[in-house]
Amino acid sequence: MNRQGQQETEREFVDLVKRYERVIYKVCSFYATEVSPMEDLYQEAVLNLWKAFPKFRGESQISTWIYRVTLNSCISDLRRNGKHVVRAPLEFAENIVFQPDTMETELRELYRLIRQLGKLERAIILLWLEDRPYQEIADITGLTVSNVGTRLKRTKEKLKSMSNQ
Amino acid sequence: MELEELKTAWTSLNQRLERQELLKSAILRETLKSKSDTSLSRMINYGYFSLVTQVLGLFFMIWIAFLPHIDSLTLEIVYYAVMFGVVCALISQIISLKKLQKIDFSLPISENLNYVREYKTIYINILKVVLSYSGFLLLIVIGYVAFFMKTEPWRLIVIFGALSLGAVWGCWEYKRMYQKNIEALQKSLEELRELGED
Repeated sequence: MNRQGQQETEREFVDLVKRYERVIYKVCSFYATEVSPMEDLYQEAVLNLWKAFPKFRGESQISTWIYRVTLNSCISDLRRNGKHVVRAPLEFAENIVFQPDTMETELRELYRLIRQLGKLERAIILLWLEDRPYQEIADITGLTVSNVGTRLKRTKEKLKSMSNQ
Repeated sequence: MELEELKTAWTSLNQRLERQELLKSAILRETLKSKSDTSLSRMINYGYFSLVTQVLGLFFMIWIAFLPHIDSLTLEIVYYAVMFGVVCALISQIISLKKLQKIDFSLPISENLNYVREYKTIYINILKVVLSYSGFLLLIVIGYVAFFMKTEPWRLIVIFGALSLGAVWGCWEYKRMYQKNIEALQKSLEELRELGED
C-alpha cells in the first residue's frame, strides 16, 4: 500500500473508532477487572480492531464486526488473566459515566450482577441490553440463533435469581 | 432487581454517554473556534503593523527625495526601484489584509477554508516576488558601491551582512508569524469541518 493509501486507511480507522467509541467502552466495561482495567482493555481492543481492519470486507454490518472483535479481545484478555482475576471495585464502571457521584444505584447493581456472570453470558446479556436482534447476537458470538435464545433465557433467569439474593 | 429495571438502567447509561459525547464535541468545537480566532487576530494585527511600517517607509522615501543627493543616474534608478517596491508591497499588503478580513466565523467553514487557502497562495506568491525583487536590488546596490564608489572591502562585508541578516529575519518572521498561524487556522477549520460544523 502506498503512503497516501496508508494515510487514508488510518483516517478511516480513526473515524470508525470515534464513531463507535461508546460501544467499545461499554463492552470493555463489562470485562474490566483490577488486573485488566478499562483503559488497558480499551487499548487492546482498539489494537485488535486495527489489526483486523484491513481484513474487514463489509460482509457483515460494521457494528457487528466492532462488537465481535471487541468482545473477542476482552474475552481473550479475561482468559489470559483468568487465574489472576480479582473482582474489581465498581469504580471501573464509573469511569465510563464520568460522573461518579451521580451514578445511579440501579446502574451499580447492574454492574454488580453482570460481574458475576460467565464470559459468554456477559456478551449475550450486553447485546440483549443493546437491543441487538437474535440473528446479530448469533453472528457476533458464533452461536446458532436458537442457542442464543436458550442461553439468553437462562442468563436472564440467573440474573433474576442473583438479584433476589 | 427486575430485568426491566436493568434495561432502564442501561438506557440511562446510554443517554448519559450520549450527553457526555455531545458535551465533549461542544467543548472541542469551542476550543477550535477560539484557536482559529486567536490565529486570525494575530495575523490581522501583524498585517496592520506591517502596513503602518510600509506607510512610514514610503514617507521616508518621499522625504529622501527632497534631500540634496549625489547626482548619479544609477542611484536615481535604484531610488525609484526601491520606491516602486515599497508601493507594490503596500498594495499587496492591503490586498492580503482584505482577503484575511473576509474570514468570518459566522460563514460556512468550507467558505472560510477557501479564503485561508487563497490567502496562503497570495501570501506565498507575494513573498517570492518580494524576496526576488529585494535580492535583485541588493545586487545592484552592492555592485554600485563596489565598482563606482570604490569602497573598502570591510564596508561591503558590513553592508552585505546587514542586508543578509535582514533577509534571514524576514524569513524567520514569516515562519514565526504567518506560516505558523495560517497552518494553525487551516488545521482548526479542517477539524471543525470534520466535526460536522458547516
